[in-house]
Amino acid sequence: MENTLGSPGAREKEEERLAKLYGYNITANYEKAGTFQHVVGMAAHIFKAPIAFVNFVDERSTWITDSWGMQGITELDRGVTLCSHAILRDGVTVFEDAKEEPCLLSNPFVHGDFGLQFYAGAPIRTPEGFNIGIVGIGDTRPRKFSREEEKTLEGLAAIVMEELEERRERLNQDSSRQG
Amino acid sequence: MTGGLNPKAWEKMIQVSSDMSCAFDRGGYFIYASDASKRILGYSSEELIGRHYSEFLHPDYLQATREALQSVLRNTSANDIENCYIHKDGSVVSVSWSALWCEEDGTIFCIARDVTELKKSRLRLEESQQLYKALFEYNPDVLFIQNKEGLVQEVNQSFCDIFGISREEAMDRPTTSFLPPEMVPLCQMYLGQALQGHMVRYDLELCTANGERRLFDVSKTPITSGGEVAYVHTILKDITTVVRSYEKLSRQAKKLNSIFESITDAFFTLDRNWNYTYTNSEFDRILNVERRSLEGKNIWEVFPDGVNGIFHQKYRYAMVTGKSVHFEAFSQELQLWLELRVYPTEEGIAVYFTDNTEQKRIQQELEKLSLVASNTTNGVIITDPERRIEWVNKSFTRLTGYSPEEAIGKRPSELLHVHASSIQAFEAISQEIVKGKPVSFEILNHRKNGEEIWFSVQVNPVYNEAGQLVRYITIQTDITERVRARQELEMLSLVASNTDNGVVITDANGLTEWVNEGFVKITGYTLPEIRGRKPGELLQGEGTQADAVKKIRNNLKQGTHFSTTLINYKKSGERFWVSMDITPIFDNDGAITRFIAIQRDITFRKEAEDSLMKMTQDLYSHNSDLQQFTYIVSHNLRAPVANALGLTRLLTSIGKHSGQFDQALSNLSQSVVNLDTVLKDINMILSIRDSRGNLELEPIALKLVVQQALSSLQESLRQCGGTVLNAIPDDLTVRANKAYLYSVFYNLLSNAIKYRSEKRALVLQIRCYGDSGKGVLVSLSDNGSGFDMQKANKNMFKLYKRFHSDKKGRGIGLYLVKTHLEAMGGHIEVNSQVGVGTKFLIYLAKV
Repeated sequence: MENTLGSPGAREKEEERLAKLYGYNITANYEKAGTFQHVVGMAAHIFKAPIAFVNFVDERSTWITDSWGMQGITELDRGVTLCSHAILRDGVTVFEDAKEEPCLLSNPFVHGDFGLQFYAGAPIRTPEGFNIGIVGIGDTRPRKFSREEEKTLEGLAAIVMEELEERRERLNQDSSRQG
Repeated sequence: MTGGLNPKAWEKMIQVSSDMSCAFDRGGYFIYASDASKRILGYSSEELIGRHYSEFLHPDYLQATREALQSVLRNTSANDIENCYIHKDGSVVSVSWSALWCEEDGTIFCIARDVTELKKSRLRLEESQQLYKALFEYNPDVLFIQNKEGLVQEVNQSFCDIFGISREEAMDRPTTSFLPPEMVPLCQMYLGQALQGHMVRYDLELCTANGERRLFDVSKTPITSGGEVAYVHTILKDITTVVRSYEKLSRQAKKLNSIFESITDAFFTLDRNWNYTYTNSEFDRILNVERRSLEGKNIWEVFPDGVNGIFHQKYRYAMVTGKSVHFEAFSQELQLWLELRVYPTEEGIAVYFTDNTEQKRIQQELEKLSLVASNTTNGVIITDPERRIEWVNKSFTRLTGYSPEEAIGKRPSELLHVHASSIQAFEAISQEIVKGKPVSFEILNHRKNGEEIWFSVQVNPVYNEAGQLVRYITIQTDITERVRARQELEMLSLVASNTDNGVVITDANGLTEWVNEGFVKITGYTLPEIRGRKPGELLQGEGTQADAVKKIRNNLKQGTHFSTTLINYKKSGERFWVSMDITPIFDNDGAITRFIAIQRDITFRKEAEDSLMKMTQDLYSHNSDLQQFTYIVSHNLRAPVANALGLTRLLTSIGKHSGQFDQALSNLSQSVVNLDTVLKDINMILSIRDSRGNLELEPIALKLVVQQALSSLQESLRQCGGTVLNAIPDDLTVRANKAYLYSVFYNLLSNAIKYRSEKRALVLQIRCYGDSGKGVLVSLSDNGSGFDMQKANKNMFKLYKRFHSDKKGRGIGLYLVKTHLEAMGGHIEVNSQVGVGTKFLIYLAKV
């Protein structure tokens, strides 16, 4: 996966992306878990996956707002998460067997105790086209993931995005009403 | 006395004279003595005067001196009277006297001269003449002297004896006259040389007077006088005996030499200074040196490293003690084993030696072999051609219990084959042995104590140079353990082969070495298909539990015995449950050599377990249903029934026409209606539950069903002024039961209306997401009052659970929604926020 963070254009774009992310006011309230519990629960149920999560990727970290099978983990260094890879792509990122992926050879999630072997992540994409987070599932054994399944996962990501939009709109209305 | 000299002068003369002047009276008493007396007799004149001469005279001469004195007195003078006096120092002094008697003076005047030295010289000359004569005359060698004319001047007795002529006959004759004629020219020549002043020497053979032939060593010496040769002195030394013994000696030496040369031993002699005095040709050959080149050299200069070595010690011992030594030693210089015999001799030592390197090698080889034969753990038996035991080693005794004494003279079979079966077994083999071929076989023998012992036996015939069989050598190896292990293995392999369980044997790396029939029966894989591969590669598949595989891997690594159950796949692809017992096998050093895995197909049991589990789950859910019914009965049924009972009691106690009666009747009617509602609920729940699993699903246009539900609720919506945004695509179809689907949306929508927020107009949004061939997500969100997710916990979809105390409701709606969706294979999730609204997320499968 090419890393475009280094180029000057990419740097500006990343800053814009972070501005968008902070605009949704999620990271400040990330500790209020449960916001996307229904999405996570649905993902786990649909894909019968032991791991499901909704998270957002900021400058340094990956904030896990809701998860299934990863209890207690709320923040991870951006460098270690597969989601920091996944947000760089517009489509669904799938590692059917992460242990076989050359680009994940040094990833502690894959090769450490956690033993993540399957990963599928759909980007949470703003209307402007910035990927601010991921709705994903994982497994400790390799599995197949079809295009149909990718669509369903993208659907879940779209739900998260829509809710974020709705919330922002509502907050704007509230503040303008008060103002 | 009347000469020119005065008496004074005479006195002086007397004083300087070395002779003693003295005077005696008639009786012989000293009346005068000159000073010379002191020198001659040791006495001064004062000591002598007045003393009688005899006091000083040597006693032997008393008589003669008295007579001489008488004679002087008679004849007035005498000369050369000799006698001896005793010197004051005790020595004897010879004195010669001249005496004159003077009548008128009555005095005898004497002059005494000391002649001691003179007399001694006279005596010596006499002796020397005698000695010379004896030396010449009695010399055993022939001596003669010739003058310069060659005439014989003097001969000795030996001359006369040898030539058989008298002294007189020889005198003044040339030697040629009595020499054998053939010798004359030679003698003449040598004589000539001698006369010219040379000393010559030559051998001369003569026939002596008594007829013997003798050899003489002749030496002629010129005798010069006044610078010229005056005489020639000749000595003939008889050397016949010397020459004969020398000849004899050299003959003997030659003989010895040829003996030493001819002996096959190497031989050398050393003198006491360690120099080689003789070496024979074999010695030179072994040392690879020039013939006799070492003679005269010092052995320790030739072999400097040998100093203080064994050779040195032994040679020295022989030399010092005079005893002979016999020893063997290895010579570093020659790289040979030598056997040496050292004999002391007069001069030093004589050494014989042989190169026995080859014998030594053979001997060592034999020693080694015999060491091997004696000490090997194998039993060794040597028999004669008749198979009678000649020798057995220690191991034979250890293995069989028979001592050499018990065994020797017997046949091995007599000792070891006591049972009929072993005798029979041996019969065939003994035929081969008798034919004289090497034979190897395994046989069950019996020890002396009757114990069984398995031997691997090798019988080798030994032939002599003539090709005759002279003995047999039998080697026994105890293979009892091996045979037992083999028998045990055969038995085990019988078990392993024939058991219904699958048995897999792998090497230490987990690669399959062997599988049994049972394995082939269970899995369908044959040994050639699986050999060299890991069983897991073939047997594990998609459904195999990762944790079980991990457990196997860890346990194999740790080398511990373990059991596990997991899903495997047969060659046909059929899934089956297997229970595995894996045991590592260790070698003596504790290293894993193999793993043995025993597999049992437990699919049947597992299925039974699964169905049992399912049954348990069904029972559990039935039980929880029953609990819910109990709840319904106790609460929801109990209330209307209790009401009805109370009312009927009331009705019997009040008049038919009282106002209370109608009211009570109406209440009773309501209670019955409530009762009916509850019963209907129960009926509906039961009908959904019963339909589970065999519900008929059909493709349904989702939008249409939602519209139908909305139209039923149109009045309520209109009253509350709510708006609905239905964003479901027209053509979206799902697989569902229409009645259930309608119930789901009707319930959700009516809930939204019921629990709308008083603060704002209700807005309902229905959207679709992730539409795919697999399924579709539908969200249904409102801006109603919402509820507290924390409080609701997981109970919001449970029967008769209610979260809005201010609103009417039975608490059955969401329960029905969830039950209906699950019956169709769908799923529902909810998220809500108090004062913001509620969002339902519905998943509907399409296939």
